[in-house]
Amino acid sequence: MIDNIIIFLKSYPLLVYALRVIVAMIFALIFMLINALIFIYVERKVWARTMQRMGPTYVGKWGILQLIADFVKVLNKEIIVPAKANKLAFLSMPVFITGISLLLIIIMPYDYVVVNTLLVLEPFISWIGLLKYAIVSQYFQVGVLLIFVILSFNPIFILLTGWISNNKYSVIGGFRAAAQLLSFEIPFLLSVAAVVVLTGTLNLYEIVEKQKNMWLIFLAPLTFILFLITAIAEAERTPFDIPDAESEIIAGWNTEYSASPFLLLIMGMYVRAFVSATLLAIFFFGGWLGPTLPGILAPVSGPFWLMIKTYFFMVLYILIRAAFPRYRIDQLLNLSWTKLLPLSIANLLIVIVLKYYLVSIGFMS
Amino acid sequence: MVSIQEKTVGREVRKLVINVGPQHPSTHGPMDLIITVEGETIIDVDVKLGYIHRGIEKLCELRNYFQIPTYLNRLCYVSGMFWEYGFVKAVEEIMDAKVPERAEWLRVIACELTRIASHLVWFAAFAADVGLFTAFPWGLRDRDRILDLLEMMSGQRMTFGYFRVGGVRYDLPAGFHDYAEKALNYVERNLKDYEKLIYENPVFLARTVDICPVSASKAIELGWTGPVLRASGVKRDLRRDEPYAAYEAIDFEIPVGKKGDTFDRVYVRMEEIKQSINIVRQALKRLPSGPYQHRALLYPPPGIGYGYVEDSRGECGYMIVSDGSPKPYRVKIRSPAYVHVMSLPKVMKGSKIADLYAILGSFDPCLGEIDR
Repeated sequence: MIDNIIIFLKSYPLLVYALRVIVAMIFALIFMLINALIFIYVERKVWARTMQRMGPTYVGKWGILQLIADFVKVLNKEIIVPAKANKLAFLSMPVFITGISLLLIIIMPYDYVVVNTLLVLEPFISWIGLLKYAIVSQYFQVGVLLIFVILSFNPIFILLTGWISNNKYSVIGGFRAAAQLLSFEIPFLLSVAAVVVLTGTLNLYEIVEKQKNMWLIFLAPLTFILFLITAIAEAERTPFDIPDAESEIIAGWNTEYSASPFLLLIMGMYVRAFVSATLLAIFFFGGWLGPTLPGILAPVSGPFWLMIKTYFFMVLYILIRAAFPRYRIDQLLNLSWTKLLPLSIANLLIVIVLKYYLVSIGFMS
Repeated sequence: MVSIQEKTVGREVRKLVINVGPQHPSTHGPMDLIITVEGETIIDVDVKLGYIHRGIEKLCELRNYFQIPTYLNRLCYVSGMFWEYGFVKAVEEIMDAKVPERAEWLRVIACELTRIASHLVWFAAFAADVGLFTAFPWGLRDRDRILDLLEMMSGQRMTFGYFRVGGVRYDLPAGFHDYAEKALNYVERNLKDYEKLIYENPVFLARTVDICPVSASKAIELGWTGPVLRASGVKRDLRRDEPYAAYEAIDFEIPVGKKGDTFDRVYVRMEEIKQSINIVRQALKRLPSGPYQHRALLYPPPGIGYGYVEDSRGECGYMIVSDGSPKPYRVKIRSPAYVHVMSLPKVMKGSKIADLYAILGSFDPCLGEIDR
């Protein structure tokens, strides 16, 4: 029967393509939901330990079900719309923001991770091999550019969210977010440009494959530092969590949101943090490259290394959050325009020279 | 949609008036700061107080001298000992009462332990104000050890009722010395962590150094006292200048700042914790034996007394008018934090929104004593 299905699908290539994207999106979405829960749990635990607290302990063993309980609790809350806010716009903004953020995850090789993990079951369930065709992320030839296109939607939506809420704290938070994201976009773009110059491709898969000889972190450490700083700023995490500074402007641009819209916004923020951690792993730490796992786990060694590296950066984010207070917005803009921008331009020039040298000695093509 | 007030000052500028408070995570209590901002810059601040006014001055006129300290240690819930002491000192001044030697030393221990506890709470809250939430549980954790000591002394953890006219209420319990040494060592060890966390932290330094510097002359003009004044470089400390209790016999230093900016206010308090630990150690070593309270008169003769002590926030003072009856005729309370908070509009115009919380936090406002 499977053969018949394949023959049928082969005669409709467009349908196949659409199906593949849909399947990939579904996998990636489920994957992201699970990972958001895991990440929030890890964050609460690690952060609590730096504070010498226990973190969640009551719900389930070691409090692992705490996030599920919180999830259900938030869903039970009343959705409150401020009196003078535009109701339709107010409620649709979280959908836009999270939807845009979720678009990022089909470009990321998460579907590769999920499918490869499921392929372990192939000896038991025969049709699971078909899922190999569901991997779409490697076909995004300009994946890196697409990430920027999607990320540059964020300032607009966040500013609008702050404005629509009809709350002064939200407006301040919205403008802060817009200023911050816009001014960090340039050093962010330039540091990624350095990666693209070194690897000579815009495809995330090829960027990883090019690192087989040597991870980029060793070739271009300065690029890594620049990208780390700007990625934290783009994900709006401490010390750059100025747009939703808790102790200053309540919750910034998402002050007025409650219940499920709030959940969506939080989800969007964690997706962005997760994506930036994955980008760090892919660009500088060789993505899924690593020693093959023994025995039956061999097919998942790629996904395993990718997830390990991603979570390494997530924990790094948490530790940075624990160690640093918050910058002021004008200090942040100063940092971006007077330090990071010249540095990243200089870095790009250095990398171009480096690439020329590496090609001339035959280390790279 | 957002109401934006438009005013014409030479050119068209857009101003936004924001109510910070009375319910806001960083105002340290129910106070209302009405700030006018232009973009991120604050151009005007208006302080509205009185949300937890309980009329304690009036309540004092309706109670006798033994009942009153129960209200007074609720004035500031993190430094109750000082507020009892100020009152007791004023009454003793009217009575011309003598206090036993041991009681004077016990008072020093009680006050300095409270100062450590109060500064630790301030450190926790200030760090959270600038976004360093890690330090918040640290400060409260260490303060708990100090509260254990205060509980051993007075039986209470926050509202002590330890001071009484003519001495203190209880003697030290058995085993106090050992536990005190352990607790002080613990706090001292953790202070090194704090210093590493804030002095070697570029972001923390960026948020505090050169923020809202106040010169010595301006600080005196504004009527500041305590750590805030000392941060501006004025070496004024009641414990040294007008010694009371047993402070004259104790050897300690008065840390002062250089520029009077927010960082100096942080620095002075961190050093004061160390000095207080030092004072408590000396006091425990030299604690004389003898009675810890004298039998005092039930109420003072007619007269006026002013008792003031070096609180963890500044100089707290009581003026008591006695007409010879069991109840005071009038009690006037001087709150240091009130003076500091009301001078906010004078010192912080032109700073950024985020600095408002750093500056306000560096004043260590305590709404209990401000509103009375």
